[in-house]
Order: sequence, then C-alpha cells, then structure tokens
Amino acid sequence: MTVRMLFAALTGALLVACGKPSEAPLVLGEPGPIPQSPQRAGDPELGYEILVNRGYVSCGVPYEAYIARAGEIENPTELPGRRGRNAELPYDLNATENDDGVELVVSNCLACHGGQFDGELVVGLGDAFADFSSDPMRAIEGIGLLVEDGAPAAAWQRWADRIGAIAPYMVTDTVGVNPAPNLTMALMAHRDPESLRWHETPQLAPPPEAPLPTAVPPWWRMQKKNAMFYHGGGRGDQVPYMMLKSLVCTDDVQEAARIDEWFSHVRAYIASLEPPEWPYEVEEELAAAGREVFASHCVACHGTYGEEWTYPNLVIGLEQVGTDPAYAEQAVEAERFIRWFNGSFYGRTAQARPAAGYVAPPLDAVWATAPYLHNDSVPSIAALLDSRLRPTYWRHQASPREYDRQALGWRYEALDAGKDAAPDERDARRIYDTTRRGYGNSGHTFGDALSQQERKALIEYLKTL
Amino acid sequence: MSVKKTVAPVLAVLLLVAAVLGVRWLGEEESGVAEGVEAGDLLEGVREVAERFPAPEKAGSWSRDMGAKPGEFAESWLFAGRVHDRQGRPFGFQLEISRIAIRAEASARQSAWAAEHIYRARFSVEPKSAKTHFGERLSRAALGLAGADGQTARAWVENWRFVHDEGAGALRIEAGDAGAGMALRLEIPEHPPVAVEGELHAGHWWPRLRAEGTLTLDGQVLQVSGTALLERLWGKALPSGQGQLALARLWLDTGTGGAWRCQQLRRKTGGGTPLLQCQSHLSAVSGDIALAPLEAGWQAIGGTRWPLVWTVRRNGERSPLDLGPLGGERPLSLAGNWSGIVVSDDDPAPWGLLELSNFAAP
Repeated sequence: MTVRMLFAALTGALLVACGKPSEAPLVLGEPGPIPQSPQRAGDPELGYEILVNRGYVSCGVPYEAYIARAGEIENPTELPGRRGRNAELPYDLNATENDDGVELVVSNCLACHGGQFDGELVVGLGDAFADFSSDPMRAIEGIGLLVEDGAPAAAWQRWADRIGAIAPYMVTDTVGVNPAPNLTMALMAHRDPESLRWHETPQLAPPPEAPLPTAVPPWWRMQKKNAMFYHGGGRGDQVPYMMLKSLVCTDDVQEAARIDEWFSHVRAYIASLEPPEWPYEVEEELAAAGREVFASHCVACHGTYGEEWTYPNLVIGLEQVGTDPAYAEQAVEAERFIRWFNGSFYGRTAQARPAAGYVAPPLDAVWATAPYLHNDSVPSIAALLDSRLRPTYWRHQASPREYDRQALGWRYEALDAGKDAAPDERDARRIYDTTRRGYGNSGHTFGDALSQQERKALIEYLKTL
Repeated sequence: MSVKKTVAPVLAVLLLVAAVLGVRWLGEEESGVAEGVEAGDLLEGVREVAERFPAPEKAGSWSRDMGAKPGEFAESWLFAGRVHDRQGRPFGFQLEISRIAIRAEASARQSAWAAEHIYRARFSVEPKSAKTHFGERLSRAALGLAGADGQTARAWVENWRFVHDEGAGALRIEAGDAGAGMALRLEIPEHPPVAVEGELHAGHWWPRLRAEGTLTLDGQVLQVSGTALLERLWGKALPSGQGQLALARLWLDTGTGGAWRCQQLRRKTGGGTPLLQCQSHLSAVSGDIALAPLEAGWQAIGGTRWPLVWTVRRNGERSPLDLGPLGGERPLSLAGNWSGIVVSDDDPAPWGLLELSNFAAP
C-alpha cells in the first residue's frame, strides 16, 4: 500500500451508525421521506480554501520523512487554490504543523472524494479504483525508518499508533470499495464521546474486522439530500458528519470546535458543487425518448431534473429495493455506535437515525459515478437496468482505464470464477465477487421490465443529467 | 526514491572513520577540509555520494557476484557459523568485510593515500558461555591496505580476508589478532544460494556450507568443523535499523536440512507493529514463521537494552524454539550493533546468527 493510499483509507464520507443521546431510547429511521433539516450558513469559497489547505486531520507523517520516502513531487496534480507547501503535495494530501512545530503531511477529504474522469481530477467524485485491500501498517511502520528523534518521532508515533488501532477494521477484501463506515466505528470505540479523549484500548466492542463494502457517493448530491449516507441516517446538521475524518487525531473538544467551524464553510462548498456535464455527444432524440421512460418509471424515487427539479428524499425499504441488505442492517443494529454519536460532541446538532433501507439517490451526473448501488457491485448502468447483464464475478480493466460510453461505466471483464480461482492474492483482490457477504448485486431490478430500446433510450437520457 | 534512507546505515561507520582516521582524506584536496569540519557536513557529503549511485544490480551468477562490485555504493561479505572442536565443544565464528564509497568518481589526486572507498572488517570467535573474542578494523582502500577483487573473488582488510578458491571448490576465510583467530575452509555445496532482492540492496544468501579448519583462542589452536552461512550483499544501503526502527536479523539453520533468513523491523522504543519478512532456503516463504523477543532475554549492554533471546515459531511445529547467545559477554561493534551466534538450550541441532541494530536506550 502506498503512503497516499494509506491516507486515503482514512478519508471519505464516514458512514456512521445513528440514534439518540446515550440515556434516551434509540430512534431509528423508517422507509419513506426524510424531512429537511436547517443547515448552517457558510462561505463556499472559504470552505474550499480550508478543504485543500488546512490540517483538519491533525496527525500524519513528518514532512521530512514524507519527502525522504516519496521524493519531491515534480508535477503534483493541479488543484487550484493550493497555498504554500500544499502546492507541492499530491491533491489528496495537505500540509500542516503540530503544536510542537513539526511540519506534517496529512490526509485530506479528496483522498476518497477526488476521482478521475478521462484523466481529469473531479473534486467530489468518489475514486472507483482506490485500493484499501492491503494492510497499511507495513507502510506506516516502515516510515519510522526515516523519522528523526525528538518531536518528529513523537508525531509519527502518535499517527502510527492511531492507525495501528484501527487498521484491522479498514482492510477490504476487494480493490475499489471503501471501508470508511467500519473504520469510523473503530475510532468511536477508542474515544470518549464527550471529551473525545483517546483510549488505547477500545471502550466499546469494536465493529467486525471485515468491513462491508461501500461506494463513495459524489458530493454534488448534497445540494438535494436531506440526510447523509446510504441508509439516510445522517439527519440534522450535516457538518458533524462531514468532519468525522478528524476522529483519527482530534483528542479534545477545543480542536473539534475549531474544525466544526471550518467545516460549516466546507459544507457550504460541498453544497455549492455542480455536477459535471457529460463530455461527449448525446443523441437528442433518443435522450428525449429516454426522458419519457424515466418519467414513467424512475421519477417517483429519483426525482425530476432540469431547472425546476424535484427530489423526494426517500428511503426505500430493503424488501422493496431488494439490494444487498448487509450494510443497512449493520447500521440499524449498531446500537452502541448510534448512542456514541448522539451522545458525543458531534451529536449536539446532528442525529444519527439509520433506516432499514436505502436512499434512492439523486441521479445528477450519475454516468460519472460507476460502479453502482451502495456497495459498488454493479459495474455499469447498462447492467443496473438489466439484471441479466450483471456479472457474478468481475474486475475492472485496470490499465489503461477506459470508460464505456454505451454501458456507462468503467470497462470491466466478467469472470467465470471468483477470488478462489485467482492465481495469487494480488489478483484475487481485484476480483469483485458478488457472492460474498455485503457484496451482493441483487435488487433494483426495475429496469428488467423495460424493452431493450427503452433501456437504450433511458441510458441516453441519463447522460444529460 | 530518496537516498536519505539509504545512507544512514553507513553513516555511523563514516563517523567512526572520521574520528579514527581523521577527516582530511575525505576532502577533494588533501588540504581542502578544515580540521574543524562538522560531522553534519561529512554526512551530507556521503548522502550526495550515495545519491549518485544507481539502483543495485540484481543478483546473477554467485561466483561472479562474489567478486568486488565497485559500481555499487556499498557491499559486504558475511561469513558465520557454528563449529565443534574434537572434544565436541561448540564455538561460533563470524567474519564480515564491508565497503562504502566516499566518492562516486575516481579521485584526481595523485597521492598513494587517495581513496574512493572505506573498508571495515570485524571478526569474532565465540566459545560457549565464555567471553567472546571480538576484533574490528577500519581502513581506506589505498596502498593495498584494504580492497576487493573481481577476477579472483576476494576481499581483505590488512590480513583479515576471504578468497574464493575455485579450484578447491571452497571459500577460505582468515582473521585474527593476538587473542584469537580463524582459518577456515567453507566448502561450496551442491545446493544453490538464495537470491536476495531488497529495495536498496541485492545479493545472495547461502546457508548450510560445510566449514572446517582451525580456530585459535588464547594461544590454543583448535581443529574444528561444522556448518556456516554466507551472506553477500551490495547496493545503495546495507540492512540496518535507523530512525525510529530497530532491525533484528536472524539466520536460522535448523540442523535438519532447513534454513531461514528473517528480518524484523520494530520500534526501537517498543510498541507498534513489528514488520517481519522471512525467506526459506530453496523456496520463498512468508507468513509461516513467527519471531518475537523473549521477555526474559533482554540485556543491558552499552546503555541500551538488547533482545538477545528470540522465540521462533515455525508453521506446523508444536513447540517454539528459543534461541539465545552461544557465547558469553561481548562488546558492541564500532557502529553500535550487536551480533552473535545463537543456539537452543533444548535442542542441539539448530543454530543461528542474530544481528541487532539501532535498539534504543530504555
């Protein structure tokens, strides 16, 4: 695992289990509409500046050790607005300084929320090729070879110890899926919810070590969503959820309060993001026909698009949607973490309230967000709309990455067998095996009833969203 | 890849060299380096030298690779083994010759003292439960004081040396001083060596060589025989702990035909997740051997606590193997490292070589 992937593993929309303050009865969400909650005002421009320049994750690798390991970055991916040392780093890392004056390189949100499309970095797009499938500790501990004694050593050790505590909960068995919900629960297990003090030994029973797979949702959906996370459990103020990445290193309420203020602006930036536009040609007539199909089959759950858009913010029950239930079930059953969140600093203005179902997402720029479903189990929209095309075992064409403009997804290869038939462990990790727990590709079979022509038209229309 | 991490293992040696031999010959001109030169300047100089060397050449034919590799920043030849005398008394022995470059190009100086390399050699004779005899030398590669050859594979630091005697199918090693010495023949076996491929070094590991010859200890010459290992490395850095990590290296001869070579990086102040890498003779194996220091086996030497007893758990074997020093008290090397032959109290067959670097004061 590279240093960058290691950082990435700690990033992302951290999908948290939800509930109510510790002494109160748990309240779970229900299938149906999610009500709107008031959100704090913020300055989107300042939010972006914070996002790409500041140390909201306050522990990381001493800069000198980072440079010794990674070398000078001659052409860091261009990201506007990077200041000072940040401009010298890859887009998914920020520079900061700790209280001892040690310059640090730390993870930022783009590690998971910065994906590439046609070679261009798209801020807010999940990275479908991110690899969290190997143990990060070899890289993290190995960096110790490059760290000088004194304050840099203390800084490295603090970071390495934190990651060491959660590493068992963040290694996925498949490249491309994200372990963020599981590692967030592992972090909660180590922290006092009120003081945020870190405990070396877990104070709550940790989550299962094998993370359930999740896809990273695109940020531009936050313009329309009333709640965060696939199970709709992120109710109320969205800022606390967005700053949960700071759980890795923020050990007191004072630091959390500062980051909370920063993230009121970051939330405003995220909510201001517009989806990218389809960069290729569209067959207008076919798309118009697809719009009709969409109107009669999809609008009720996914809303309408254009200037007068509507979006119903619906949680669809597990039985109705039929997609892999493991993730939603884990969320509603994670009582201790729901109580932790709602009784914590983060739960002052937010309420964790997961439902036994999945939110039907807004479909703006859905063509860019392959693979599909909450667990990345379906590689293309064509397969999403025709369940007979969904491969049981598949892997992305890794190099060169190529986008399939007809199927709307990254090119992949369907396989006859799963991980067990792979020649080695490395190959096995690249295989998406939908027979594994949490990785299922069932459900959302609504497109099966459409004709081939209707599906083709619908795909063309989806390019215009 | 920065070479900052590649040079630290040799910096200690360089500092010692600077202290022992003086620093003038490190400069471009004989008079070019002031008496008061800062160690940091010297180290920076070595970093620059290391950066100018290419990535290590991959291992090829072992007989060719045993010869000098002046194109590499650093190289070493390590011989170690356990032998018994005619009374059946066990002894450990080690001889290591290593070299680092102090400039990337040949010196323009005409002086016979001009040198491009520094050599270090150390040897030990380790009688059971008695004080280890340890010797160490540093020398520049000038005036024939130290050097290595590629035609006939050999290296020497004064009269401590190894040579590959192709005609006899053997390696010969010799070292000694007033207190102890060795003159041993290591027979080239039929089984091939194992290629070593690291990020910063490459080489060969050759376990289970038959050793015979003489050890000299306190004026007594002992006929001995037993088994030995060879480790030949070269590259941008030789293995060593540095920064916040200590390095423990263990070569294990099971005594029943098997052999392992393991290295474990672990935080020098304790804690963290130790990183273990092992390979077995004739097959690359990982994950089926566990290695941990025994709590009761830590000893204070030179102001630092060293884990001198290690528990080895091999896959499929019920009982672990505890390996501790064969010999008694021994000094640290000039670079501050500990190394010694290790054996089991419970099983006379296995033996190993343990090498420890960069452990910290408690």
